[in-house]
Amino acid sequence: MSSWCGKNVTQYDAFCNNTNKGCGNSNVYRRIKNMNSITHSILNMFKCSNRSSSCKTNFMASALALILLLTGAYAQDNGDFTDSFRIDDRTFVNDAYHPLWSLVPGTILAYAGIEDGETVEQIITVIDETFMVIGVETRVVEERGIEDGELVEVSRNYFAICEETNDVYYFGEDVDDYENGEIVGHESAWLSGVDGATPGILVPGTALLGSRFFQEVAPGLAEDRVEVVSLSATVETPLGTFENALELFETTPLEPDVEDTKFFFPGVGLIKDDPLDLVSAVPEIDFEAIAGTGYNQIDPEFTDDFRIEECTFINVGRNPYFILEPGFQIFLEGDDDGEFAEKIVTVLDETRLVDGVETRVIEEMEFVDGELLEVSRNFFAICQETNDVFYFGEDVDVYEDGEIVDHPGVWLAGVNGAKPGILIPGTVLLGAKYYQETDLETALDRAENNALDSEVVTPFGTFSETFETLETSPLEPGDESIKNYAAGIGLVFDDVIFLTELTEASTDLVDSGDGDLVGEDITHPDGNVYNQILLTGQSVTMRTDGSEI
Amino acid sequence: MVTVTLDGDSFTDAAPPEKYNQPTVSYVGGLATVQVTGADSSTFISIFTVGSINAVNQALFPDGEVYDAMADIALLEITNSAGMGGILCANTRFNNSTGDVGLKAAGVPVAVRVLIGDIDASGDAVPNILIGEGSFTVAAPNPGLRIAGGDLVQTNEADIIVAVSGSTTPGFDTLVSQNNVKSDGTDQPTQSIDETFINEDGDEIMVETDEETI
Repeated sequence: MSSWCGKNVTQYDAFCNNTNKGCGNSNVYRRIKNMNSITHSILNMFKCSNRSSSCKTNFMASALALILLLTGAYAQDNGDFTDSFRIDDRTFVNDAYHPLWSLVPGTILAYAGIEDGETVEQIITVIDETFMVIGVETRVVEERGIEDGELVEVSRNYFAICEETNDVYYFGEDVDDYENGEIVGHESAWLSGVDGATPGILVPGTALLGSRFFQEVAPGLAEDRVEVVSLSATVETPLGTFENALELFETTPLEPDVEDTKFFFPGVGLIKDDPLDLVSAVPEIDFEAIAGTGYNQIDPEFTDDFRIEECTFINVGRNPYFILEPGFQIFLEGDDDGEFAEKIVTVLDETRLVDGVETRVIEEMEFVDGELLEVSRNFFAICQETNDVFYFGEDVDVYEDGEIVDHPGVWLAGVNGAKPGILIPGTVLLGAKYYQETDLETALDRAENNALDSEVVTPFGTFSETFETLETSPLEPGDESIKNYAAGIGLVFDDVIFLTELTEASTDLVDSGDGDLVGEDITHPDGNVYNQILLTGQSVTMRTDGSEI
Repeated sequence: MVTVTLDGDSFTDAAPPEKYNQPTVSYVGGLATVQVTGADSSTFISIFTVGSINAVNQALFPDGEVYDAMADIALLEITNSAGMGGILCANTRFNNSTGDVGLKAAGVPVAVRVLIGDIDASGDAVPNILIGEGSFTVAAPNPGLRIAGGDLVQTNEADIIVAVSGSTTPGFDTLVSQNNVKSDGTDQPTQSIDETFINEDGDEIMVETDEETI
């Protein structure tokens, strides 16, 4: 958990004694707009992280426009593991296929192994039964544990899949412990909504290396938590060898000495839970069909295989931390080593086909002391299945004295072996590490989610539902960049610049082309509500409200 | 998002409609291609003509005027979408003499039903009925892919594409032919359908057909 290095912001030098970078450079933030009306006083504010033991940034700010305050009071109260998943506005399904944990009734996975000289078996059955938990109709998955041929445990576990992100949520379990055929206890039973318990994530929609999250969020009862430690595991089972499997390392604060490792394979599910190996499955596993369908990682630390082939892409939409709607625009300003830095980010009413996907163009314009420094056109699309925001490349023009002089960092998915990277995951989990750019020669930015729910104060407003990324690149060793994203907004802090203004996305029903809005939300006698647009030229593109077309 | 683009060859400038009592409104004309993006299983699209049985303003129709009462468009294309709830084009005749004609929603499953009035390709046009596998998962009356009143006879005798390249599986199990009522109240009886269906590679695909009268 991150925390402030201290409370007295005037003790700048003392705070930086234990830091290794950044603190020596005082960055002066200035608001050019209304400059004459602002009384400037200088505050030094900065933040240290217990995780990195480094002071990440510092700056001076206008007292009238308090710029940034990163407190250590994260809403996430379980340190390095994500334990709060904000599912209030989510929709769930309970009978869908999921590559890592199918909820299709009739699915059966059987496991066997030897532990302490005894045979142990487990049978997991997705049964044709649902159970309502905190307003969500979950699927019942039965697990039977058998030791030396004797039934020792039967649990009924409650799962549902989030439609927006494809995360499999775990809502609780009822447990019957058996001895000699009799129920003797109910150890580890828990249920969301009871005694402060909330749903955890069993497996995420997109597996990102380093992700740390709770599977069970029942304080004092069940607190299993996992970290995605590998997407390249080789797992041998009696059924066959699985290459490039997902490996989860499991611990629980309730039993600090207990550790477990579980392996999952896309299209199969759980294949090994030491000492248990998968020994049979219904439907039967077709090893020929799944050969080569594991994760295809190159880097063992940062995720570069996002299973993009399972995505349907849209180029208009939003995820909690990113808005991809034409007309949306943010302005950021700040001081960069004594120079006034500005960035304007605009979602354009323009698309570009990249690597077979119609992406949306986002323009970024950067200025230093009022002079145009760089214009980039960045290509994005959102995976509908996971809500991940994918980055497909960028064109870059660097300016000097109004002339284009260079094009550094240009890359494009589908060219030079580059693939789309993830800019913002659909579900933000602490510790997640992923490539944003994947061109080995020109662009390899990668991010790590290192904080959730910091409070971020900018001239535009204060945000508490945020996440922070630490960006690095193997092409620029030693360079680090911190960004903060706020829910419903997007980027609010970028190294030294802060959100100062934004323009909402256009809500005009006529997006482009030739058309006049004749009537809006007209109720037809049949009950349908519609908008009426009169085509006045050869083409018109219209926005639709949800399911209205 | 929905984009409507009128074919340049058939485009006509805005002018008051000849067959409606609507002198103050000018309409452009031409065969339309309708493109939908960003849809999901809650999205329904309906393409139809305004006629005497569905118009709110019944004063639109001069006495004795005779109407075709079918919407003529070239193509409905659905891309970048997780799915569709329904495609309701029973009052639509897809036709053109160039390019793709019909419905192209490759990879986009439709949850409830697809209704098509008719498809008629002429010249070099290519007829399509492409939807994603995994369609029609929501139980509802009259589900599936339905041709309403049309016969799918192609003026250019082209085979109809119902599966993408490399696939021999259309997005529907059965093609149902049913009766229909045009927007002026004219009945259209159920037609027999005897066409050849292919994938994008030209490989013939056997399609089960059925006839219903509703």
